[in-house]
Amino acid sequence: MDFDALVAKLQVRWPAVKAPAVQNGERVVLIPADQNLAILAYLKNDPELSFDSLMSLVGVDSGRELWVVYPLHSFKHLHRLLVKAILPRINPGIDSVCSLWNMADFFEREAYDLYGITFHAHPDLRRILNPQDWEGWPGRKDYEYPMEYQGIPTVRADQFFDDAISKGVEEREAEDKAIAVQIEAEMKAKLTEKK
Amino acid sequence: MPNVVIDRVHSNTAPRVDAEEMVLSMGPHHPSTHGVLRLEVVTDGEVVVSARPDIGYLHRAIEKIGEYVDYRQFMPYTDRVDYICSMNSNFAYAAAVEKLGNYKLPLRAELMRVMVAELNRISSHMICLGALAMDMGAYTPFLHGICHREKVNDIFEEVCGARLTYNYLTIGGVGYDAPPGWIEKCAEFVAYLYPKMIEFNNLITGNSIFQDRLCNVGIVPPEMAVNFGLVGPNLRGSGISWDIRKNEPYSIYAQLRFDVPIGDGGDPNGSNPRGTLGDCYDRNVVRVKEVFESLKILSQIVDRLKENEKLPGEHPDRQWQAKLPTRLRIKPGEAYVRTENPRGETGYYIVSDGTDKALRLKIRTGSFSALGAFEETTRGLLIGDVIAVIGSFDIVLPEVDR
Amino acid sequence: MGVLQHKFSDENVVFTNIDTLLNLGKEHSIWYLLFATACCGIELMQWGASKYDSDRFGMIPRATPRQADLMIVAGTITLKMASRVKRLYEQMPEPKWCISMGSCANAGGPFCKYSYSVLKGIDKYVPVNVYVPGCPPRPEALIEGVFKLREIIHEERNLVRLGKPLPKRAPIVVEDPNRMIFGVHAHSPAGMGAPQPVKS
Repeated sequence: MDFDALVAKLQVRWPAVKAPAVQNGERVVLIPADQNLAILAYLKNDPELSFDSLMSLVGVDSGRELWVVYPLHSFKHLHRLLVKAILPRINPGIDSVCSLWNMADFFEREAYDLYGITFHAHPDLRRILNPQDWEGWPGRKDYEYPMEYQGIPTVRADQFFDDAISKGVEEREAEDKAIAVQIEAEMKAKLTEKK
Repeated sequence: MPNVVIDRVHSNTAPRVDAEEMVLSMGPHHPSTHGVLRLEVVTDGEVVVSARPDIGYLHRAIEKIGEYVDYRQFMPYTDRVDYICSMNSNFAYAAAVEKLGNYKLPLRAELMRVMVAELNRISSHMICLGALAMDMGAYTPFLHGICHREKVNDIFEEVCGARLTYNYLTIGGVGYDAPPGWIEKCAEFVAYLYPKMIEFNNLITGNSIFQDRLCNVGIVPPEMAVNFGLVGPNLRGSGISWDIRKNEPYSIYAQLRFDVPIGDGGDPNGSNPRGTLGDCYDRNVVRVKEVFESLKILSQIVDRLKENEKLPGEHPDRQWQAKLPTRLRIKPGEAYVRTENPRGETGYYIVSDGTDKALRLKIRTGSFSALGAFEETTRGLLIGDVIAVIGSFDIVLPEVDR
Repeated sequence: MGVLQHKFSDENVVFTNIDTLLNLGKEHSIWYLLFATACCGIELMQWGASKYDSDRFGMIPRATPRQADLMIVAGTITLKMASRVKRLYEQMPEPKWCISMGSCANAGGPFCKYSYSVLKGIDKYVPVNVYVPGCPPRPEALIEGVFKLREIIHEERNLVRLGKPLPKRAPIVVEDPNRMIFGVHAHSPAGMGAPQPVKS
């Protein structure tokens, strides 16, 4: 089934589901976060849809809110779908889909570890990649890097991030152009002095 | 001679001893070559009750780094995600960015990419098969595997200068053109490896001790494999024929002829008559057969590259890089693109916000979900079998921890 | 060799000092701990394999730190892993040395700037004798690092004469006061001089 037919079938049962148009990339289905278990169970069990494979489970911090994205794939019908649920930044919580696809176990732990998204009814929700006594949610955009961990300094003396995040794209492109112009001038000077 | 009384205690007269379960911590440093993985193994004697993986000892925050550096600058980091098959990791990232940015590649770039990807698939399987044999107690196949891998390293060193983390692919093509004589070297390698793999098959894969250790161990039935998200040779070892190069082709794989080997345990006419479908031996045989398939693909690519050499230098198909700006600005959007890695699929989920840096870059790797299935697979096995299962799932820790 | 070298007609007599003899034994049979974390670990394995054989230098891998002399820290060390590296180093018996292989172990590598979970250099935790730069360093560079370590071992002093103040580490003193008492003391890494960087 193609994307529009899938969305139409979903919207029959859940009218709150939206699929906005995009200018680039893949189209995504936005679902309300409190009904994600019901919608995903329908997507998995309905014989026409039968999304039996969850390809991945991604936690995203878009700067304004947190997303949980479920890329789905069907071995039976060979179609795929990107499903997204949007969560607030304060106390984000969503139902766990471990009962549908067992592989969501580790992926949800990773989303909890990096973004602080609580997955209700998860069998074992604790940090997976960082040590158990780590503080903070490292994946978030407003994460402050710790200066030390258990007595070891974690930053070097010359470590700073300002150049990465404070300059915008236009500034960096202008710098590139200035450097390119300078290089071209040097090459021309070399060629003329060789002649 | 001291006066010793040997008392034969019969099992029905001996007092009942309550055996407690023992918690064993295997790792993070252990002689197996798979990296810093820690397993919390609860055993009842020699039988494993539960073996839970504890990961994160190699978490380097590569995904977070992707939000700070440009699209082009991120390419060396993708090498380090899975350094054993570094070209494939590069390929996965480049394919994802090109899909999101709608960039088209010249033909020679595609051919070179597939060539190095398949060579790296072979050298990655050499390490995996060698390491599995070493875990089973045979040290020599590992040395043979490294010897073949060194030949591939020499080929790669000619084209890009590095031995392990190549950083050869770029967004829009490959970094350097093939030097003169390189294609003939690749053809020589294909001719060299084919009899060596047949010898390897006879010595190790057909070895009865090897089969005793691996058959009927770590059985993953097909439904469980799909539910736990296993991919790549792990999924094909359970009998499901799914290869992204064949079913969702990318690059020029749609024009190449090759087969997809799957596991057939229990079939008396197949390659695993003594085992069951989805055991460790099935996955091992799938990898061995994949090496032969890669050799097939390589000879086709060598022919096509030789044809491509005849074109004049300015012909658009003869370029090895597309003309793209230095700073790639990609319009806002998101995409999930997956390619076939030796360890399964590598899926990149990239969200772009219109600038030259990604908003979010998520790497989905096959080893992560293989470790998710680990606890369920190793229930009731012996401790030595746990090592066999790790080796047959082909887990490398940088992929898991990123 | 010394003044007495040519005084004897028998050529099978060699004169040297005990330091040189003991150090000769030590430097030509360094057994390293097979400790590989990341990409440098693959180069370590390839260095130990057939093409760049480490066995011809007397170096064989040991799986347990209790039987190893040298710890080659190969690969990125994260903050979660750092305490385990220290424990492994402390479990190794004296004399022991440490080579930091690769950029990640030297100073954090490509992850030094933007990564929150990487230890920026193993020398914050464990005393290092030789740094081998590279990402990953070629096996030839690692061989050069081992040769530099051999030069360091060659300069070690094993004998201590009576009357001189004993070093802070308690030496092992052999009994029988009628013969010359010598103490063979473990040389602390801090006393070996500055670590030598390798030009690869």
